[in-house]
Amino acid sequence: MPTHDEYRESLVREVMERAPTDLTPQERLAALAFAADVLVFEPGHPMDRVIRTPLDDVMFQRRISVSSARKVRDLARALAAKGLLEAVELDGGTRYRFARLSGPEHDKGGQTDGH
Amino acid sequence: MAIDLILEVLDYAPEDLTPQERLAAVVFAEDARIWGPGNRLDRKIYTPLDDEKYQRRIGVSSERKVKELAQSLARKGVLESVQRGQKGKAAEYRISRLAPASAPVEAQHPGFRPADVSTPDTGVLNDFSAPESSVQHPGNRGAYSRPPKTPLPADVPGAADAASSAARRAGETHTPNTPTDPTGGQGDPSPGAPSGEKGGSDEAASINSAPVVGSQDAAAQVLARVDFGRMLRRDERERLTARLGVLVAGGWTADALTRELGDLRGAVSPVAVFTKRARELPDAAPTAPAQSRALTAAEAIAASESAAAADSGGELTEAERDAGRAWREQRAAQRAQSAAQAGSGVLSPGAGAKRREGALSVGAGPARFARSIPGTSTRCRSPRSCPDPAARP
Repeated sequence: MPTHDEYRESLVREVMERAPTDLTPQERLAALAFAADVLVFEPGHPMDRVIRTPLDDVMFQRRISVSSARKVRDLARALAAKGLLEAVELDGGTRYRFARLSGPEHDKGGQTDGH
Repeated sequence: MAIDLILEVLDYAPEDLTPQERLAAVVFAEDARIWGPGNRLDRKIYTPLDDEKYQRRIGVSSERKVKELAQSLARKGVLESVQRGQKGKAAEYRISRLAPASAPVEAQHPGFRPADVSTPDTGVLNDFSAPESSVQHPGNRGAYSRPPKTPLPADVPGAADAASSAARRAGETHTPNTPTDPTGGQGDPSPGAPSGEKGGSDEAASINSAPVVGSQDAAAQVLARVDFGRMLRRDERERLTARLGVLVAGGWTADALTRELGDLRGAVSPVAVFTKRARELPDAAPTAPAQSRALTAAEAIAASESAAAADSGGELTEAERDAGRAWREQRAAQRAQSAAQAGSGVLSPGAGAKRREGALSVGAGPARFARSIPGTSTRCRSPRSCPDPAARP
């Protein structure tokens, strides 16, 4: 049975492979940073593929190399507009969940390739 | 796992990377593995840079651009060259060590700590006590202090996540949860209750039973100070933290433990050596020996006087004290004079005469000099060394 890390790693790989091609490098980097903070559960689980850490956490500013939480939120909104994220209402606030990506499956995106 | 390298790159890559370089570094880290064939510390990027997947993942249009990004990352210290690309051989790189070697895995990845999700439920689980504030790397972003997280509500299955996190920390695999039992069978814990008062899962209880918070802090402090030559695996760190926690509870300080266990120079397998030493160290710290230090002059005088008083069977009289003090001052002056002469390496002009007169033999020389002190002998053995003509044989 895969571990949390393996699920998370597979999501990162899925984002790398299937993210829309019109993303800027910074948006792509933000998507990877968000994907590395996600817990993956069964489909239908309220927390499945939801970005767990609040977007105003300074961790995301470090990882995406931006200077403010507003820019992190702007990036999340841009990713949602491009179909990579979905806004969900949780805990009285807006969180973002990774959408099921339907891009071309070039190689083993979404799976651990075992090397 | 690649996720460890990805998080290391995200957290500790230099600040001067462009977004595209940072993205490329993450993509390269995804392809690298910490442990290569034969379970060796590797971090090597296995797929050749001319593979089309890099162009797709980084979002560039040519193989040359990927290679330029790799060269740029090598210049900035994110990649190390394993093999230069020449004579038909492809260039090979590995991911540089960006996080400090002694930092535990959780401290190197402060953004994702699986126990974080358990904050509202068990509280104790969140105590990795990784010294996040001390985690820094020269030239990188320095210390990162994580702000307090907003607790998840009880109706969001955080507790179930906590149980799975606990299971994961215990080395088990993760079973995707269903929201049917969000508290993991532990009732409905309220997020506001203080940690430690709520019932956690049995796994959580067993994991957190040994060390207390303070001892975990000290244990993490010790582990952060020791250079193991590589990143500690999670299971190694948990095992060592538990053992060090027991030692700290037994009275060992972090400094003493670092002194006893931390010198791993020359060890082929530093982690194994450290673990063995920690296991063999007695749980209870040795009692501190009495402090020995040089006595001050006043303390020495007082001690000698009290000893003399004890010998004489009572208090010294004032005259005895004065006599003793004068004797000590005379001795001190003689020693200072001897030290000055020895330091200069030159004997004073009258030194030979004084020696012949036996002036330097007071109380310390052989018996034949003692006999040559004026007034103490009536006859000399040798005519040449006898200063008193009347006493010459």
